[in-house]
Amino acid sequence: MRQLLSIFTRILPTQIAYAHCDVPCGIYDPKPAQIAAATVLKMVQKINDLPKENLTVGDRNSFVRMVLIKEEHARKCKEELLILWTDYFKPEHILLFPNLHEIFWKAAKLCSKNKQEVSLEGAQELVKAVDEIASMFAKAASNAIKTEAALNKKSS
Amino acid sequence: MIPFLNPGDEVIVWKHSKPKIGDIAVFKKDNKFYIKRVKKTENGKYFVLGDNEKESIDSRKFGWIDKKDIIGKVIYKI
Repeated sequence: MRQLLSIFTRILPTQIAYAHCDVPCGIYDPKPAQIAAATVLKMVQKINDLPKENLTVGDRNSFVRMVLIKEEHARKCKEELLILWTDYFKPEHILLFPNLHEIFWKAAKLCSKNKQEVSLEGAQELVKAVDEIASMFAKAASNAIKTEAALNKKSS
Repeated sequence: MIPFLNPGDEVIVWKHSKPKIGDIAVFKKDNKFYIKRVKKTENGKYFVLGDNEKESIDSRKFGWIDKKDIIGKVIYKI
């Protein structure tokens, strides 16, 4: 029966309905953003290490691949940051981090900047910005655990 | 809607009757379809909650859903 219905869903038009919780519910982690930012930095370093003159076909191939990877991971970094910014952090976190929105906005701008440029300084700034967000996340998560523990203690 | 629904799960929606309290409703909001559980109904409006209440964005944030925006109720999870 289940298989038959599954076949029907492939033939008949279906729609996506959103449960409005992300990736999956309850699981947020700044690590993917940090890895993406570190990858951007690595690619910038590798691009800068390529010969400046008399590039071989192999060098040009490497250059193109490195730029593509930099682009992809800058995009991924921005995507992961936006998930944390819009879905994990709540209005009450502003009390803990008054500059939260500005920090995220600047980090998102750095993602774009690193797509547009090959800049060691820009890539290092991105890594630093994402690490700052990761610290905020860790503090917020730790705060949530303490609050939950206090509530559980109060109700028992 | 974890644990009842996981990303990628398929459901069959019955469009010919409105959901009751406890049913899972599919509704339209801002040109997208959403799926949540009906917690309360009042004057033709629905208050919906995600099963994963801690992380869910639902009527607690976006308010009551109008009857006219309800598409139907989930009758089967494939």
